[in-house]
Amino acid sequence: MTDASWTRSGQTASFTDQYLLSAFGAVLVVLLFFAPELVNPGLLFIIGMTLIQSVFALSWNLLFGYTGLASFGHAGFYAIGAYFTGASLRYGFPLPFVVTLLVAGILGALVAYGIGIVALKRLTGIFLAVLTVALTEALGKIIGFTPALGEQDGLGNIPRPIINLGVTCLDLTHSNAYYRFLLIACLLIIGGLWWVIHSRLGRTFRAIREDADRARFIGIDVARYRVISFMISGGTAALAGALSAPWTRIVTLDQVNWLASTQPMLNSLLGGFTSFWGPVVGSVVFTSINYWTRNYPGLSEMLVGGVLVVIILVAPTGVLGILGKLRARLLKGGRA
Amino acid sequence: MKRRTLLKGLAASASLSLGMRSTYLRAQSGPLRIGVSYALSGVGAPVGTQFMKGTEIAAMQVNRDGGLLGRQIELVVRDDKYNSAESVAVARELAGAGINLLIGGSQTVTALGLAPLAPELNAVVIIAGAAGMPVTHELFNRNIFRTVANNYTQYSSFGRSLIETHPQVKTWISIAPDGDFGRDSALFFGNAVKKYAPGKDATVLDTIFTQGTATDFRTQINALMSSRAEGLYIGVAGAAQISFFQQARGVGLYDKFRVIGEVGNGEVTGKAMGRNTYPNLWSISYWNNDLEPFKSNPLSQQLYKDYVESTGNKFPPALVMAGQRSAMALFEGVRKAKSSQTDAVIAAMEELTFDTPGGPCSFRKEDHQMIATSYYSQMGPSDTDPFYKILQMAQIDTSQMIEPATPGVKFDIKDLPQ
Repeated sequence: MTDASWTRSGQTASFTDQYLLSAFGAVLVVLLFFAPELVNPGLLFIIGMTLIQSVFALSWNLLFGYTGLASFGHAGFYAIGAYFTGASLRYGFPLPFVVTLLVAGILGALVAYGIGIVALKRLTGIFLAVLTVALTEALGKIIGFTPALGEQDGLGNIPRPIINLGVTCLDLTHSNAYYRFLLIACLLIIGGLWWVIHSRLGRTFRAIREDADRARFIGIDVARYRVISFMISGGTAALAGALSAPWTRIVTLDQVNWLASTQPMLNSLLGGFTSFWGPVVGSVVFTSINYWTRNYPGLSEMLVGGVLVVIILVAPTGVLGILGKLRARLLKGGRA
Repeated sequence: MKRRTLLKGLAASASLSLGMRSTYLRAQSGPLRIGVSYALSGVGAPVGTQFMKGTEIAAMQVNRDGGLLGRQIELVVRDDKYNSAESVAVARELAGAGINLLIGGSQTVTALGLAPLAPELNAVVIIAGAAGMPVTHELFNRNIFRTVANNYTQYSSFGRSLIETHPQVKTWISIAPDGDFGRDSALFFGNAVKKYAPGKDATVLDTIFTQGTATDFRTQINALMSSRAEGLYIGVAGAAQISFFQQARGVGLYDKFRVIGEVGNGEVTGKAMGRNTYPNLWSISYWNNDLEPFKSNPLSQQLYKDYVESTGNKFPPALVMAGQRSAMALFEGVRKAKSSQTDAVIAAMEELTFDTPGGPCSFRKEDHQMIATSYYSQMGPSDTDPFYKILQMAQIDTSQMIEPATPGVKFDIKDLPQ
């Protein structure tokens, strides 16, 4: 649901919607928490991947949907997190797992800072997009020549962690345990992004997206805030990658190329990039299409492509945009 | 406890156990479900679909002969999309559906995702086409069996085969993609050429590296033409190899080299080049029904017949045999174990020897690597459709060319006796 549709629907409808959405969200979280008892391990793995893809897509949409910057090489940040965490667990770096995740996020943010400080002072639009693609391709080449990172074969057999809590240990080696850790981590990250977007910082990002010149005129340091947005986005993408490594137990160069970078874009466009929840909905839609067409090789790509064409032609604001329009039409019909 | 409550409890327990028993019986008498996970879409599909066809034929052949353990085989097929994360999802889904016998890994990238999962899923996993060294080395576990020669064996055998059939060629060179597979295959090939050359007087020049997906080879072709080599190994595969041949032909590379070995494109290059196929082109191959030793092997003849009947195509790709052999390895393991339980099948397969269209195969107990004969085909142009032909097959017994088993330990060629 877009912010605009809240106001269009009026105060009463907005309050009811908010109540219903909160209840829906709570039920969904409970269902997700008990998913290991409700679904088979294959579907559980897919749900876990959808959570990770949701965080990844949200990180991209923070840039595109809220700051007006396009990164076409976001997979590079994801890969930084995934490879760092994979290597840390595989080679037994003396770091607690939570610290490993934090370091992965910080690494992503630092690389984003490096690019941002060079590029975002002068470059936006297609130049920034090309630079981020170049970063990802360069990273892929470096990994491809690094034996410790598995070169072309990838880094496989990544063990799942055991977190030492002092008095007890949190054993995440079993899929169900790691899934619950993953769910909580993703919810915390999504909550953090929600807070950022609805804070003063998020409003500043939106002001820059709407009109950078006007934002500069009223005293906003546009370049600085763009770098901050890029750092949060890069750090979050790296966190998504970091969480994925112990889940899939393998990290490969498939995750470090321009094609992998299109995944968060696809999810955001499918769900609706004008809404906070759009990338999450897009990830769920994309995964659902893939899952229900898994017995028909090649069909999922055709369906996703077809849905994308329809969305771009009919509703550029994605699935949530279509739902918003339908709802508005229904309400209008009800009042008439 | 009241008597009525006790009786109700007993009745409920009895019906529950009867229900469970009937479910168990149904599972034992229904079809034997075997999971299959190959790359059926994406860039890996040309390989994965051929493996799939071979696996389907294997299941059809066994079902036609009465099935396994008195049950028909049902293949539960999934597409791994040439993606390691997808192969993990597929394996978990199949295991979640109660399937403990899996065939997959048509390429190394998906096998590396699949292999470490096998113990957790308590499944027997056949790695059908992945030749990457980690599968039977650092990623080894007792639940996986590889039914294809690994890179070291494959390309060392290829180098040996070419130098033994062309002892007059004294200087060799390679062009390969600048990745670990390209570097390794050129290294293994070159080392074998030096080792098995009569009088050990062959020279192997420095490898020329390129991009695996390159379309312009003018610089590399120029370097090859300037070299003094007479024998060439091409580690570039797919469409890039065809581009290489098209560009090389025009500048006289066909006249310069007396023999060329290529990484395994086989018929793909033959079909694309047709009458312009290099006349002494050697490929890694698995099967050619018209040539010995396949021509006199009844299993090969049956595979050809079944392939033609099910597809209408009289020119089966060689990889079909690899897919059929992989499935047959698992089926024969189940037959020998007289059980489909994971531990029983593993124990049976460790001692298994079975016949295939390419001759007898067995597994090395220590690292579950298949030992079989490796085949290499000589291809050249033809005046009749499809305008290329396979002229002969060479073969090497891989038991002579395999590295020592070091399960759990990373393979390093420096550790081998030179």
